[in-house]
Amino acid sequence: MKIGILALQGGFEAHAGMLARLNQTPFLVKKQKDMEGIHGLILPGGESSTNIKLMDESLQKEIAAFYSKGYPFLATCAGLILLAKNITNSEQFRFGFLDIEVKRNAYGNQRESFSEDIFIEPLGKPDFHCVFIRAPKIEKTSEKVAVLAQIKDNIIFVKENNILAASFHPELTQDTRIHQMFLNMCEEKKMYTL
Amino acid sequence: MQIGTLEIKVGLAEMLKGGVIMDVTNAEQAKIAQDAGAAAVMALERVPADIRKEGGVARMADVNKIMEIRKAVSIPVMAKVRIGHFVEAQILEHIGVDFIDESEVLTPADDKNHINKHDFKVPFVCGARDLGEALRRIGEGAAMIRTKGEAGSGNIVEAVRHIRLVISQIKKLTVAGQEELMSISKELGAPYSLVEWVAKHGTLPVPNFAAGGVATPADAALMMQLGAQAVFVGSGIFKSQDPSKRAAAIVQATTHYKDPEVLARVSTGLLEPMKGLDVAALPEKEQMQTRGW
Repeated sequence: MKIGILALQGGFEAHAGMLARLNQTPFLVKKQKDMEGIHGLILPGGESSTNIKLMDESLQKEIAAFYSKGYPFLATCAGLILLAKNITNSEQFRFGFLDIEVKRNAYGNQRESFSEDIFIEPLGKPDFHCVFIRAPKIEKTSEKVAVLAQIKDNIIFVKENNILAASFHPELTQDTRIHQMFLNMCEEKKMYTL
Repeated sequence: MQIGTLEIKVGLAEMLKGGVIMDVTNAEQAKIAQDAGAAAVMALERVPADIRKEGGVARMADVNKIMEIRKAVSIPVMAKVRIGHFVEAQILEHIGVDFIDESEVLTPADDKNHINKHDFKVPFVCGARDLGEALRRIGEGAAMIRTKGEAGSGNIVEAVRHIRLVISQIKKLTVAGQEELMSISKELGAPYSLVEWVAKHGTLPVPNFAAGGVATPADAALMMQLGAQAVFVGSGIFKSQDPSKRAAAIVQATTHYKDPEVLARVSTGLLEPMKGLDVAALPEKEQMQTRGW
């Protein structure tokens, strides 16, 4: 399998480390041609506004086509903002594949960044160590979106069709379960595409 | 719930990788930086080139100035404190700065001790000229290391020297025998546990960025190819004749640092870069990199 990681700016190295731990070779995606032959795409954290500036039109179109063909996405933090349909506090570009409303930096500055161990039902026990870095908040989701985890009233992990999206950073931990869940989606897609 | 742990501090440094952090002195410059694609801004009273020119004691920026810059952008805001000046750091932490640079660009407040960065919830970045210095700062709690280079010089030679030295010292450690590590630790003046960690992993335990002398897109790409994971640009942008265009070009060059096609394109048609200094001709007491230890 060939898994791509958008590597314009942000936490792409940590995702690459996670894939390596799962015996996958990561492929860094910076341009349209880097998308060739991949079976799934990770959109890392970082600054969403920076990522948009760095994404040229051809790559943008390629990612949209990739989505339309039903290939899986794993989006974390800023990656989730790139996919969201609505952003309450920004006019910036977004793909809009994910029917949610998000607010950027909703918890505050780095001072308010935190971690917490959360039970995520599809993963079972033990709890997942969730690291939130200047994280966005998912403020609304449509009925098409499955909520996989929340902290009190805050939704932090969702799935809609071929998209898995978290407002935290599984790649900053040693816990491979969320990446494995994503790889399973890629494996399944690859099987049906053959 | 946990806050201010090393994991959370290093987490933000991880998110800045592949990005450019730009020095800005007001809200207007901060907006230009963000629009050009900066991953963060460094709020300052004066850029290093002006500090060098004007002389006198350089201190933490006025709180109003930092707040004005913070209001103008959505990306993280960093600010500098003097080496050893933990009260300036307490102030920056209180007002909610995202990252603190304990920086040799400002006039040191303590000639022996750096700040105990473990005392803070906010992450710190510190400059280093070699592996020993990098590990001493990490031992004190730094969540990010950057080369010192020679700030405000517009000359990349010192940053190149520092990153090459750090990387080659790391490489040597990975082939050293266990029995050699204590003597290397003594030579480097670095904590043994961190020397052992680097020998085992072949990398620093925190992100390693470039700073001090970046003036062109090619400079940024050079530092990335030498092993830096992101780039700070100080005077290089707003002391050039085309800040906005140059900033965007350096952002592109940092992302596509191995792609000559992109590098050639973004290096085309820029106006004059900052003039720059011959660092070799600079007396040691005028160098900023020799501040701190």
